[in-house]
Amino acid sequence: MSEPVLPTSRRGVIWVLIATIGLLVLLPSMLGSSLLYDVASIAIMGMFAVSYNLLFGYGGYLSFGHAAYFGVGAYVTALLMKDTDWATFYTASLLATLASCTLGTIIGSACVRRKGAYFAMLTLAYGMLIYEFARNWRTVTGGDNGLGDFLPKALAVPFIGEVPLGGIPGLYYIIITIALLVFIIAWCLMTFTPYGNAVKACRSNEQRTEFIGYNVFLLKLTNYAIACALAGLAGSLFALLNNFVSTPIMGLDEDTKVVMMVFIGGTTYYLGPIIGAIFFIWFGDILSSLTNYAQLIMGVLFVVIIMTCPRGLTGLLEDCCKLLYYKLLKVNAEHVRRVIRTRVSVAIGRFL
Amino acid sequence: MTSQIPLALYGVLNGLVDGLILFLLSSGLTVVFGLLGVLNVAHASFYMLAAYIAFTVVAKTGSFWIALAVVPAVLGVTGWITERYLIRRTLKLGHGQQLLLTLGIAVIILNGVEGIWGSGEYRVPAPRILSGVIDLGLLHYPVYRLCICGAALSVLVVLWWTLQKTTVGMLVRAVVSDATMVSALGHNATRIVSLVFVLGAGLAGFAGVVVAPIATVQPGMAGQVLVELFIVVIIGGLGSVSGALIASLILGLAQSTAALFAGNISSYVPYIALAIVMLWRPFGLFGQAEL
Repeated sequence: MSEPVLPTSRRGVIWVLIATIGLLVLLPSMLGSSLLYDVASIAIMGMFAVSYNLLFGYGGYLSFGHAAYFGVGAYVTALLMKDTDWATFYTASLLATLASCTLGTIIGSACVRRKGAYFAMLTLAYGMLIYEFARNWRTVTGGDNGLGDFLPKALAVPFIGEVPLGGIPGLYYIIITIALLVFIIAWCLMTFTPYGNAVKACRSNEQRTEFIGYNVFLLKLTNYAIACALAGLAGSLFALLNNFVSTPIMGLDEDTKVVMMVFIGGTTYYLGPIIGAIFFIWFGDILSSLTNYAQLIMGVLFVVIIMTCPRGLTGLLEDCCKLLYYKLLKVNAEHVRRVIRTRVSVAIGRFL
Repeated sequence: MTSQIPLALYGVLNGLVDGLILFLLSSGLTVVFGLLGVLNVAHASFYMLAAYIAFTVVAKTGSFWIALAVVPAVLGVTGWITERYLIRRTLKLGHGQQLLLTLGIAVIILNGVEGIWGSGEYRVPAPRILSGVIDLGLLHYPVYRLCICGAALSVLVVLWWTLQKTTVGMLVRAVVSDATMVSALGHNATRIVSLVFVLGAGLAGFAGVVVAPIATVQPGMAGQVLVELFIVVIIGGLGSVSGALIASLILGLAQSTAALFAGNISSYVPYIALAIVMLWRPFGLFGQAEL
């Protein structure tokens, strides 16, 4: 018996999307402002994680220096809005995205020629270079103390008017809208375009892709630059949400955080990193309110997930959904159960 | 101009010490990579852990020498557990996943250390016999740093001798070039890998202990060293021990000289060195193109 497949349809995807949007629109009337802040943070970190996954999940490249672009995005936004008169949030955000993209192109051209461990090491080294630079350039970046209070009182939104930036619901809607748009556009880019297919082809066999006639270097560089641009946009939204940026957001801890988020969520799914971000922020909040060892527990969890389920939490979720689905429809679930049982025993076996 | 010479010499000696310590670390990293194909991100964390344990041992027993004897052994055991129970169990998952696994271990060690010792800075006193300065004619230099130099050099010589002249060393080199063949010839390749991993972790432990008196022991030291280590192995070429030695020395010397003569750019020196080498030889000084 072959592995049963969940029926998916385009209509299903659209319904899920509509339901999600509806939920997100209604959330402010249900949640308090601190929880809304969490949801907005999840959207930002989810965007950052998705941009990372464009690199790993689609391109097959393990990067350790991705937080640098997030930081550059945040800093460019903050500096433009603090020191210039002409920059609104939109222009600042656009320029921040462009800055991250440009930086990504320059650094990427030095990194994407190499693979695997070398790529990881090179990206870490260059990422740390940017971090060092930001930390030492104290007159501009404020170093570890950071920059704050750069946002205007309100932001003009097309079709809606002035939205106050002080209160959470306004900020929440702006961030959620941009994030959702980016999620959808990036998904379409990777799923429906020849470009997305070429990147995936490049991951599975670089040499063949080159023989077909693609410029592999350019392809990988473009992918890297797009991932960096999205990270920069996420950073820009981060600056908008917090009205504060400081150098730790581009440091090694942040690099590790995004890697953990993406891999806990699952790299083989487009939604994996978002689920990882939800889990990381939400569960991390709960953990740190309970114990001082929240990060340690996260680390252990990360190791367990790496060792036992390479598809991450989303993979587990999918298995559970399958089981539930077949149970509800009273289809013979023996196969699914067997699959899960073997997975669990393999997982346990790895530890014993 | 005459007053510049002692200063320069001071810089060279400091650079030598830093370079040799970097080599103690990068040799373990690079040999393990050659054997397993795994980049051990937790290597720098072993070093940090060693410095912390050394701090506690010195504080409890009052003797640096006990720490020097005990800590590398403890780290060796840590390395053994890591290799035996984590890395060896994930051979099937591929090198990317194993790299992530070591990253997870690094996160656990970092947070464990912060949990146990807090995020403050500690200082470990140097052993009393070695705490003075010595007159080298042109300058006065701390005895302890010279001793690190000597110890690291002797470790280096022993390492080289073991790798090149003994049967075990020959087997290690054989496993690096073809593990299946070595197993086919009746040797236990897995045990050799394990041995090397333990040795690498032990060396990291040794480096952590000897560095503790001349550095501040704090949670950031792992990340700092990790980046330098990566730069060293990229410059030297992953898997090449001689490359690691040369790159460590270059980096140590360049950094200490820059710290003396151009203080504000010294933190960029590793990156500048990396960029230059990448332009000149994209695969490192001793690296091979197909990696």
